[in-house]
Amino acid sequence: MSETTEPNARAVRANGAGSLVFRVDGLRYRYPHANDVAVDGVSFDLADGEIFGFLGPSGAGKSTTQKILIGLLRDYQGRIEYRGHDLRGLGRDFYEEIGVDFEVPVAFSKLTALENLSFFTKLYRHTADVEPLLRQVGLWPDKDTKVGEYSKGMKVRLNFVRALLNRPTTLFLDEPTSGLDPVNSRIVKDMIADYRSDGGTVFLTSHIMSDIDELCDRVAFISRGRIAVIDTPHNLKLRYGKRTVTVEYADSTETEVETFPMEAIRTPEFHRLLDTTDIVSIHSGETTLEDVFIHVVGERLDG
Amino acid sequence: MSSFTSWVNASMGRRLPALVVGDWQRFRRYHLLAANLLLLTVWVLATLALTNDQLRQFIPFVLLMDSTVMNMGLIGTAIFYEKQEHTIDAILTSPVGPDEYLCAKALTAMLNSLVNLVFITAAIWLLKGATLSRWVDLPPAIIVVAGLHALVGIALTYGAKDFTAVMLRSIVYMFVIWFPGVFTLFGLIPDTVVPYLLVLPPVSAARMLAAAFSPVPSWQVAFGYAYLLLLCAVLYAGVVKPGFHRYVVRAVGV
Repeated sequence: MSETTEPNARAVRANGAGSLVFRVDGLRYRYPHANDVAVDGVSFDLADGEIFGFLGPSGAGKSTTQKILIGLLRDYQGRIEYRGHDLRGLGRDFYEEIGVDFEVPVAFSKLTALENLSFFTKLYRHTADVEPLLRQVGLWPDKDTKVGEYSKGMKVRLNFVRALLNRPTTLFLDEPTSGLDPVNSRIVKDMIADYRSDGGTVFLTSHIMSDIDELCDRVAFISRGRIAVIDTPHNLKLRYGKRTVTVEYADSTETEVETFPMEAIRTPEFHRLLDTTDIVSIHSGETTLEDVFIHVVGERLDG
Repeated sequence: MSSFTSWVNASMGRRLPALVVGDWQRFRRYHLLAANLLLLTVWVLATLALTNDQLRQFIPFVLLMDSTVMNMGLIGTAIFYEKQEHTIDAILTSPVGPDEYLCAKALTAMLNSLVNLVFITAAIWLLKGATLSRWVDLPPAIIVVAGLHALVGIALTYGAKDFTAVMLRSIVYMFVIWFPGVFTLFGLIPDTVVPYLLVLPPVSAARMLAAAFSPVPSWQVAFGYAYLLLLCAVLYAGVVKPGFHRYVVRAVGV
C-alpha cells in the first residue's frame, strides 16, 4: 500500500533547484522497553520550499518521526539525510538551521514571554527581531506577563514565535493550531504560508485535517508506524474521492433528496428531475481529506 | 580542528554564559535562591549562640551542607522543572549540546555556593566579628565539592519519576553517604578511622573545608582534591553523560 511521489512542482519552482532538505529511507524506531515499533519502515523526501504534512491519529508515529528528524531520538534504524549529509553525523550547527514548534507548551512559567524569548535568543548565532513576531501573533501587549498566567492559546502562539527565533530554513510544526481560536488559528496559518513564500520548508504534523488540506503541498498518511500513501491533497481527493451531486426538491407533500454521481449530471434522469420538480437546492459533494484518510488507512483520525 | 575551535568560541563566548545566567535567573524566579538564603540565614543566626571554638566546627558544617545537599536539591529541582515545563525539549533542539547543558548546571551550582560562601563569612564577621585567616583556601574547595555534587544531583534526578522521588534519593544519599562527613566535622568519628572513610565524597569534602578552620593532615586535603576531581571525571564520563541520552528519550518520549 505504500506509495511515494516526487516532491511537487510548486516547491521545485519556488526554489529553482528543488533540492532535498530531508531524505528518509527505511526509518524504524522502537522506544526502549516498548513491545511495538513506533515507526516501521518509513520512507519519504522533503523538498526545499515545500510544506509537507504528516497526518495520522494519535500514536501513529508522526511525533516520533518528527523527534527523530530533529535529533531528539537517535537510536533509529534506516538512513536519514539532511541536505545530503547523514543526520547522525551532523553537529549542533544543524540546530542553527531548524526551528521546532512542539505541541505542548514549552516555556518557563515563572518568566515573562519576553524573558523566555530572550533566554532562547542567546543560544543562537542569528536571531529574528522578537517584537514584530510577538505583534503578529497578538502577544506584544502581554510580553511582560508571566507565561504561567497565559491561556493555552497564548502559550501555543508563544511556542510558534520561539520556533521562529533563529530564522530557521526548515520549520517543524507539531499541531501548531491546536488550542487556538479561529482568529488566531488563521493568523498562525497565514504566517506559515508566508514563511514558505519566503523560501522556508515546513514539516507539519497534525491530526487537524483542514490545516493539512489548506497548507500542505504534499501529505503523508501514517498509521501504526507506516506510511500508507504520499501525494498532494488534490491528487488524493481525485484518486480516492467520490464526487456527487445532491439535489433537494419539493414533492407534492414533502421535500425529497436524491444523490447522483458527478458523472450522472449529463444523464436524462438528472435533467428530468430538474425539469419536472421544484428544486430547493443543489450541492456538489466533494470528498474531504478525512474521507480519503479513512478510505486509505481504514481508521478514523480521532480513533 | 576549526569546527572544534568554533564550537569552543561559540560555547564559551555565548551559550555557556547564557545558560548559567538563565539557570541563575530561574533559581531566583522559582524562589529556589530565596529558600536557600532563608535556610542559610537560620544557620547564620544560630551562630549567635555559639562560641568561636564551636564556630570552627559549625561553619564547615554549614558550608558542607550548602555545597553538597543544597546544591543537589537546587540542580535536581531545576532539571525537574525543565522536564515538567518541557523547556528541556527546546534547549535540546537548540545549538546547545549535552556537554554545555551539563557544564552550565555544574557552573551554576559552583557560582551559587561561592556566593553563599561570601554571604556566610560576611554575616559571621558582621554578627560575631569573626574573621578567617585561611579564607582563600575555601573557594577552590567549594568549587570542587559543589561541582561534584551538582553532577550527583543530575544523576539522581535522571531516573526519578517525580519530585518526591528526587527528594527520596537525596535523603538516602544524605543518610548513607553524607552524614559520616558531618560526623567527622563534629569529632564524632575517631581520627584513626577517618582515613578509611575518605572514600565517601562528603568525608573528603568535609576534610577539605575543615582545613580552613582547624588543622587537618595535608595529605588528606590533597587526597580530597585529587579524589573528588577524579570522581567528577568518572561520574561525568561514566554516569552523567551516558545517562543524559536515556533521560532525553524518557523526557521527550511519547
